[in-house]
Amino acid sequence: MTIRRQYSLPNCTLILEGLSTSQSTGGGRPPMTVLIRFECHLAGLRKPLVGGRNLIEHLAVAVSQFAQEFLSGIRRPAQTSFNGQVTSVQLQRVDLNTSRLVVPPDLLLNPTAGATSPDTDSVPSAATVEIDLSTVQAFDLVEAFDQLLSDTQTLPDLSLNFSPLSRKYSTAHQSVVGRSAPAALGVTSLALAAVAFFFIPVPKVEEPQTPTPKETSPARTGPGPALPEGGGHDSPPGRASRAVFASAPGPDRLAEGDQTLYSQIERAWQTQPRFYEDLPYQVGVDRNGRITGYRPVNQAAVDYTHDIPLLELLEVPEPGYSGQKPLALFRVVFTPGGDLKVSPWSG
Amino acid sequence: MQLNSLTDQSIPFVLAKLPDPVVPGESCPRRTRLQIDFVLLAIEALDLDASEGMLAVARELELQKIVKNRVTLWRLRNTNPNRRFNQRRPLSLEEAKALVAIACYLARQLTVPIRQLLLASDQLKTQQLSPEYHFGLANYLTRFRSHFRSRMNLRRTGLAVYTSDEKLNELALNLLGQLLFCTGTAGMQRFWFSLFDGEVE
Repeated sequence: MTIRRQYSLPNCTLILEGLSTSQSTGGGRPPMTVLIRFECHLAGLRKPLVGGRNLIEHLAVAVSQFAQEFLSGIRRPAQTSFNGQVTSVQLQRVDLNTSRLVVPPDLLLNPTAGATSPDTDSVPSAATVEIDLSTVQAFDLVEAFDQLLSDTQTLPDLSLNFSPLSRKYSTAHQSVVGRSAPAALGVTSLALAAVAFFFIPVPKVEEPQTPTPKETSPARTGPGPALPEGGGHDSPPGRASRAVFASAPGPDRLAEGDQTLYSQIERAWQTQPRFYEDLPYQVGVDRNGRITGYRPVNQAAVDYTHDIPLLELLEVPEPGYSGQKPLALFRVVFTPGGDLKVSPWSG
Repeated sequence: MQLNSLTDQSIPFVLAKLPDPVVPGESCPRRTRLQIDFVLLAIEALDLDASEGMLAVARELELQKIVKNRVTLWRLRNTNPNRRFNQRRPLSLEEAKALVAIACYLARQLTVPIRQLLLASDQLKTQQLSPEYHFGLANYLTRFRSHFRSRMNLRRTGLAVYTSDEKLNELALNLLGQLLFCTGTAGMQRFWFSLFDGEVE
């Protein structure tokens, strides 16, 4: 006797027809262990998607993957379906309100094919099915499948199975928002700084002296406490510029740079270390001691780059700073014990 | 579903379905802390009584040992690195699970308004009208923007992209969609696992 099961949501209904090969009745619903026909009715599709075991498996994988991507915003690489084949169904977010489902014809049967025909004898469908779904419609599809997969009395070998995406996939498949945020930040900060600096009058001070490697401002005589203005707190772009000096910093200035950089980072480093080895970075600063760039030195530093506050401290250099290279380089090391070590970069 | 809470009294039953991911230090990465707080923020923008609701749900789900009172809840949420008063403390996996359970439970109670607002957002977009044309949607977005701006440290570089109303509206609508996925049969597990995408080996 054919068993029919239905999972209904406002925008999606799944209908399964199958048989039970299990001897036990248990007094409850008999388990459907063999699938004969599967129909997926979606709002917006004139005819349902019809197929067999292949269709349901490929759809289940694609739908589950889509739901995780929607929640985390991080795209996943193609996963394998239950029988080891890569899913050929695509369900991906197109924009804030829309997701696109694409089902290839080799998974589909003609919707008018008889209900009792096995897959191989039914009339295959000719065309790829492509449909755009709203967020609510896409959720209803996900939820219908989750209800089906949670039902232990229907195809019990199909079940919900999630795991978080491995780190090795996330850098290659980071969401568009994640990738564009630093660029957006850079453009925004630069625009704001340019506007603000435009309004600052040209200072009437002596002309900059000829640059020499060892020259320093006369007020600074040796390694001492951090600059009185305190480089630690966030300085919004457009603040009045600090004292200008025309040359690369000498050793005394570098030592002060250590202190300023140390204070900045130390204040911003607010989380307990979750790593087990030292994380070294090469950090570039501009003439005012602000971090303009950094580079992880080893793999651990790459892996834990989100655990340290260098990205948050990153600032766009003031306008007119045309050099690609920062003014000074430092070696900054974050240790698992919570210590911070800052020293001039010596390669 | 069988009640297995008697086998281990120390784990509240509702959290038993959420396994521990393998993360360093057994505490939550930055993105996890951030996303949980943002989702709770969206819930508060949807429902004016949500913050009281969170404590009530904590009691109902027997999570009082983890979320004792309003102050504890505030501290846990302020492990979000983008908060003005960011707490220098880790968020343990157990604490995160409690917040996830609370968020999903509340989201389920708000299923109807969540669906309504998403449908409205869709219709307005099709007609190329701004969200202001729908009263409920406009309220949600206004409250979300207001909460966000008052609580987050807007000088954080990670938040620089959210300076305009338009960008905050996008974030609010995105979170609304994510809340919808939290309301499902497997919503709590899905949300939990998604928090660690890209954070495990």
